[in-house]
Parts: sequence; C-alpha cells; structure tokens
Amino acid sequence: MEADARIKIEGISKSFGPIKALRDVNFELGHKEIIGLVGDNAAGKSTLLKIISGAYQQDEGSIYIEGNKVDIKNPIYAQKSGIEIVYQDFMLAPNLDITANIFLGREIYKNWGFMRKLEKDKMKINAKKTLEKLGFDMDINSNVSNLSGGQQQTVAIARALHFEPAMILMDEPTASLSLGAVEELLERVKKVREHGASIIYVSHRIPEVIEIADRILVLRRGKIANELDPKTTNVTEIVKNMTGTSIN
Amino acid sequence: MLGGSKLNKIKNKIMNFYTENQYGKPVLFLLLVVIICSFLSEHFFTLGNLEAVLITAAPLIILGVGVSLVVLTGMIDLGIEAVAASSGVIMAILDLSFRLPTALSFTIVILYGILVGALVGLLVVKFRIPSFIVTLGTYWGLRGVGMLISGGVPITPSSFTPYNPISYSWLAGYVYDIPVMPIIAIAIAIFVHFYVSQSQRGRHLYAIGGHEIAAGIRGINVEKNKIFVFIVSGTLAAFAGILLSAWLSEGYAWAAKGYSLEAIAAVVLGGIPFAGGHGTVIGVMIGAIIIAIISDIITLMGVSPLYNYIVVAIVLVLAGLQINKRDVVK
Repeated sequence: MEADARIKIEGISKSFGPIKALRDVNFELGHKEIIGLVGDNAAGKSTLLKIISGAYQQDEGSIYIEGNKVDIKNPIYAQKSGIEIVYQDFMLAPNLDITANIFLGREIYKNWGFMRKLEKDKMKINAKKTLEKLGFDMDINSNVSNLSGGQQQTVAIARALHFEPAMILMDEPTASLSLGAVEELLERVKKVREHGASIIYVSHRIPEVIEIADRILVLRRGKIANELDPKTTNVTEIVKNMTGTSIN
Repeated sequence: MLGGSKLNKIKNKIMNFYTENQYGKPVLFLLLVVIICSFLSEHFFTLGNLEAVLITAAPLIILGVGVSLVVLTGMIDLGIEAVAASSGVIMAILDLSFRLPTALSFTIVILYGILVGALVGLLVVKFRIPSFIVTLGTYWGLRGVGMLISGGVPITPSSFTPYNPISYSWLAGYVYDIPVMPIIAIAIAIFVHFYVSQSQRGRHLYAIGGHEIAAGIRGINVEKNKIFVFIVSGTLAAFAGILLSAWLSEGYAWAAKGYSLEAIAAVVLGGIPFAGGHGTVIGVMIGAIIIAIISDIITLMGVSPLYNYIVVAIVLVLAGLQINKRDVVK
C-alpha cells in the first residue's frame, strides 16, 4: 500500500502586491489520481500550478512529495522531482523543430572537451518513438512555427510525457484543440494515468473535467471552496461553487 | 538551349536553396554581389584583390561573429568598435611603453574584453537596462577611455625612444604568402559556428532568441547565457582591436570607426534577424565578406569612399526586405 500522497499541498498562500492570489490552499494528490481543478478567472489555478512547477515561489505553506518536504525553487528542480507541466500557451520555442522542443533544457549530450556536444540523432530517434507511442503522426524535423495550434499543443503534451513524469500538471490543455482532438487527448490522459502518473487537470470546459477527473477541486478567490465527486456532481453545481452564487 | 521545364527546375532549386537552406540567403547574396562586381571592375577577380578583400574583412568577421551571438539571443551590442579601439590603444601602450612580453600584453587586453563584456551583461541582466542603452554607453564611454589613456593621439612606435617596432606585427603578416589575419578570422568563425550549432549552449541561445520565457521555464539559465554572449562579444572585440592595431602599427582611440554598425549589418546580411533565434555564424562571416567586397569595389571604381556607407545601407535594406516580418518584430 502506498501510504504517502504523490504530492501534498499544505497551507499554500501567494500574494502579488496587495492581491492575494492564493490563501491557505490544502489538498493531496494520490498515486494514479486525476484531480480536476476548476475556478473562475483569477481564482488562482494557474498560480497554483506555477508554484508546483517551480515557476513561482509560495509566500507561505509547504509542499511534500512522497511524504518528503521539498522546496521547489525552480523549474529544473520540479522536473527532477518528476513534475512536468503543459501550458495553455504551449511555451514552445517556435524557431526550433519538434525534437529540439521536446528535449529543450534536457538535451542528450556527451562531454566533448570543454563543450557539451548534442547527440542530435539520439534525440531524434527518442522523439520519434515518443510521438509514435502516443499515436501522434508528425514530422519531428518540422519547425514549431509551421505547425497549427492543435499540433503545437500536441508537441507540448508529447514533451511533458516524454520523460515519463510521476506527475503532470495540465493548464487548459484543450484550449486550442478541436472537439475530436479533445476526445483523443482525454483518452491519452487516462492512459498516462494507467501507466502510473498522477495528474492535475485545469480546464474551463467543465464537462471534460467531469469526464476525466477522480475528484474535482473548486478554487474561488484563491481558496479551495469545495471538493466534488464527478460521479454525483453536474455542471450547474460546479458553476455554483465557482461563482459562489445560486443558479436557476 | 535550356528548355522551359529545365529552366523552371533550376529556378525552383535556387528558390528552395534560398528559402529552405540556412546558408541560402547569405550565399546567394554573396554570389549576386560577386557577379555584379566582376562586371564593374576588371581588377576584381585578381588574386591580389581577393587578398585585399579578405584582409579588410578579417576584423569585421571577428566583430561580426562576436556580436552575432548577442543578436541571436534578441539583443544588440553597439559598443564593439569602442572595445576594439580601446583594446588596440591598451595593447600598443603595454607593448611600446611598458615593453611587456607580447603574451602578457595579449592576456591583459583579452581580460579587458572579458571584463567589459561581463559588465555589460550584468547591467543588462541584473539592472534590466536594455542592451541598446548599455552598449550605447560603452560605445561612448570606451572611446573616452581610449582617448584619455592615449591623449587623443595615435600610439605608434615613433612615439617612443628608442624606436622599437610593434612586437605583434606578425599578426598582420603572411605565412607561406597567405595573410595571417583572414586565416585567424575564418578559423574563429568556423570554431564559433561549430560550437553554436553543435553544443547544448548553442541550442539554448537559439531557444532564448526564439522564446525567452519558454526557455526559462524549461530550466535554461537565461541570465547566465545573456552574460555569456556579451563576454564572447567583448572578448572577440578586444581581439579584433589587437589585430587592427597590428595591421595599422598603432593604437588609436578613433580606430574601427563605423565597425559596430558594419558588423551588425554583416549579422543581418548573414541571416540573423534582430529578434534573434535564426541564422548561422558562417552566414555572418559571409555577410562581413559582402561588406568588404562593397568597400573594395568602391575603391576599384575610383569612387569616393564616402559612398561606402550609402551602398552598405542600400544592401542592408535589401537584406532586411527578405526577412519575415514575424522574425523582426518581436
């Protein structure tokens, strides 16, 4: 039995000047669990993901990975701890090809005197394998600037999955995808979970959160307002929790 | 005679080379300039003239290679000509006045270039001052430093008694009838090109030029890399200053005038847009050679060298036209 949660968030708060983006946020993410995180604009969803992925530092509170307290001080630390993130705006270098983007910051190299010489062929083979495994049919040599929004999102997802992370944070991953592509993505996310990853899934599209999540956390004005069971809740109840008002 | 379809095939091949190959634009520009120049002067295609072009291009290639890494990451370095000029002055003084061993003078001047580059990088990165402003400061400030330490006059062997020639003049000499300066410049360009295209750091420089925030989020140390490119630029500018000083047999605070903009023009001609992220160092070397050819043909045609700037400006605007708007406006 795995006693410790994959990640435990305890009393996280974050302010930007006078604005309190997060206030005393607490939750746990279990192994192979998918948490759906929903909330209105400026509820603090992206800030929370950025803290977990090392892009921001919390003002207060602690994070535990597998029961150990960690200080996720930068994105490299997060990646080394097995945390990957898929951003809404992809965060890809448009001037580089698909392979270079998948390996960006974690290139395969060999020490060659004073320089780290890239192992370009090795990276290409590995990138191709990842895309094939995920069922993505793309030319790994294509420059990202030549890809459609959906294809760029695909590359961002492939990048997150390539290193087989223990935890994936997905920030509006379907924002640029067509309806058909959304269905495919949701299936892939479920498969990734079956392979052992835990996922925090943020989306404005509430039906897809209901479909994919094991639990739904509602963030309102920087606080966890409620935890809902996707099997018993519905869109109306979620929206009511998000806004704090009753809807007829 | 070539048939229509064959002609179309050749046209398509050239267009493909121009648009798809990373060396396409600078190579075709060079060919175009060479063809035009060969019609303009019968002396253009002579060995002696080719040698003159390469010697003229040598300091510009070195300055261009240095500044190319800065532009690759989406910044600019206007101060390189002042670094070069002041380096030449310091080198000449250390050599002629203090009579230091050449290797020691050389080391001191290169350290000066590293220091200037590091300082510029720190100001840009830590104080968030735009590189344009900081390097405009080094442009004027280091000219001033050169003027102060030289008293505003050229430092030449005849400034001192007893007369002693510059000890490093061999840098502007010949080995087996081949001029040393172009050999050094081309070797530097090939080495930096290899490093940038094959190393992890080179990949990171391209990524920073393409999407700085995305690069940072993937764990690339953007600040460290930005300081690194200014150090390279400062070091190569100092080295170019030593070469210029050897070539002119003097250290002069107003040497290398106009080289900053010419080097940046070489970078653009070489296919690196101001927004960064694209292009090659070899392309920049070709760009520097194009500018040297323009300067050369103006001399060969007996036109006033004052026209040089105007012609370079026209070529630069033409080069700018072929860069995608998306690449320029960041």
